[in-house]
Amino acid sequence: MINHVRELRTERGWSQADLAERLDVSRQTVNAIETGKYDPSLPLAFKIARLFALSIETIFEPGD
Amino acid sequence: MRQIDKRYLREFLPAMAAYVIVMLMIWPKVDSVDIPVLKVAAALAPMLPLAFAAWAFIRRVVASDELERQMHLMALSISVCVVGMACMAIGFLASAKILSLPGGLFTWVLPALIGVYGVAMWLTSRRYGNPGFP
Repeated sequence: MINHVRELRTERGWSQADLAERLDVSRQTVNAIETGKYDPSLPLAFKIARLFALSIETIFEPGD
Repeated sequence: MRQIDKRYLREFLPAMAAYVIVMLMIWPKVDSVDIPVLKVAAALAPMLPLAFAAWAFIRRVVASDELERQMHLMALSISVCVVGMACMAIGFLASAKILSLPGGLFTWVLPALIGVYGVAMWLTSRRYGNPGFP
């Protein structure tokens, strides 16, 4: 899955630690999502979408 | 450091400090105790701080986020399989009277589980690109 979490985060000037705190997850989890090493669960994806005030499909796209 | 990690250290470190104190102060006196009930109590005294340490660990795992839980599961699975297989192999050798087991051997099962779990957790963290790990 492709995601735009890193771009959205940097646009807002947040560090990975800032985003992790807002999502109540570890910085490692944010890093793993941004680098595509981990696909978040649906509840976490909704949480990310709510935080950025975007729809899930705007942030996450199916990969090849 | 996250709050759950601070809480874990706050609970785990005193428990392990108490364990060390018990092992240094009470455990060496077990042989000199003659009253059976006190002997059993002294022999099992290290279990109390260990139980607090185990409780702290369980609370840390329960408070983990979804990726951390996945990593804990993988690391614990690897640890249980490796140590369990080693225990079975040693047990078979002992049953066949090829090995004679010292009485304190069982006390190494938990440290072995923790050690293998630590290595497995490190390897799993690397898989997910943990920036905090080498």
